Amino acid sequence: MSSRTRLTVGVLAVSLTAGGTALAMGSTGSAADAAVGSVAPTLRGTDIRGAPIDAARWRGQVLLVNVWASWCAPCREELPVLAAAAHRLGPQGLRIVGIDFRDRDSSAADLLRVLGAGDIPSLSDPDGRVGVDWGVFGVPESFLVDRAGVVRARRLGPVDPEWLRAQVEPLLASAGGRP
Amino acid sequence: VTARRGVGTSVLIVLLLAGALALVTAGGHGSRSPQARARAVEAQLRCPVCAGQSVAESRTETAAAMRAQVQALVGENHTDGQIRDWFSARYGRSILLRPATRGSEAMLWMAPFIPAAVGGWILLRRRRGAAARTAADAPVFDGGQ
Repeated sequence: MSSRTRLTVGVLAVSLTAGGTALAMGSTGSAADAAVGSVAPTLRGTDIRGAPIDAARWRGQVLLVNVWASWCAPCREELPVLAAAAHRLGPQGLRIVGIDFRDRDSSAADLLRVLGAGDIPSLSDPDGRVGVDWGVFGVPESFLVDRAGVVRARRLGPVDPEWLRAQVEPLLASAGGRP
Repeated sequence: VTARRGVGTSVLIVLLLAGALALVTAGGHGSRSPQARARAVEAQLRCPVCAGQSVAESRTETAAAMRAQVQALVGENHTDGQIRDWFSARYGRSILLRPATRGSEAMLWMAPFIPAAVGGWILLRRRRGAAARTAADAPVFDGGQ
């Protein structure tokens, strides 16, 4: 075999390996970013008080979808922050909606009342399938959805005032965020 | 003969790998029960909040919710591949414990075997060349004296 042929074979083998690696890496992506930029899943069912709930009624508003549970200690810290945000940013077009993840409705409703967050509507998700449809990792976790229904940001862990300032307020103030 | 065996073995390995990949990628129903199918798919999904555990193994609430979703999708008659795609769309490809089953990614799995096959081929060519030279250099038997 000539040296030229050997060189060609070598280059081909290296190219195939490198190409395969690049394709595989390019298609993997970051798991936590998978939802960002995608159209938000539907949010429809029964709330923790047994009433029908459909997030489509808030189409055109900025939605902060918070996945939580009464058994989750960080969620207890987070809920008052969310209640305050709903009160302060609601007039600017923010709607906060909960997904009560693998929880008992009565426990969830009691906790919201005790924490003064009873105004936050929450979808009942006893088997967690709604949360999984959103690609949830754990609780608490939040998804910020713009007025066009596209997920713009994701928060793993409790939402805090800094995150609200950095993510929610700019979206409310942007061209697509005006009520 | 040894060189030919080497090439044959390399080709066999590549063919077996390609066949296995084709079976995995197809992900058909087969004759398994819904429970067995769900369990098999759960074992192929990574628990997103665990260290190296599958959804089938993990006892976390997230994994339990994912198992409920797998069972629902199996009940709705989705294929194994469709269920894996459903989770990939929401969690990214890294949710799959065995992600490299797509055509483009199969190339990555095949790549290590390509140099082996090429090496076997080169070895065979060299042996043939050496054998041909030896035959050409050998004295012609003159039929005795």
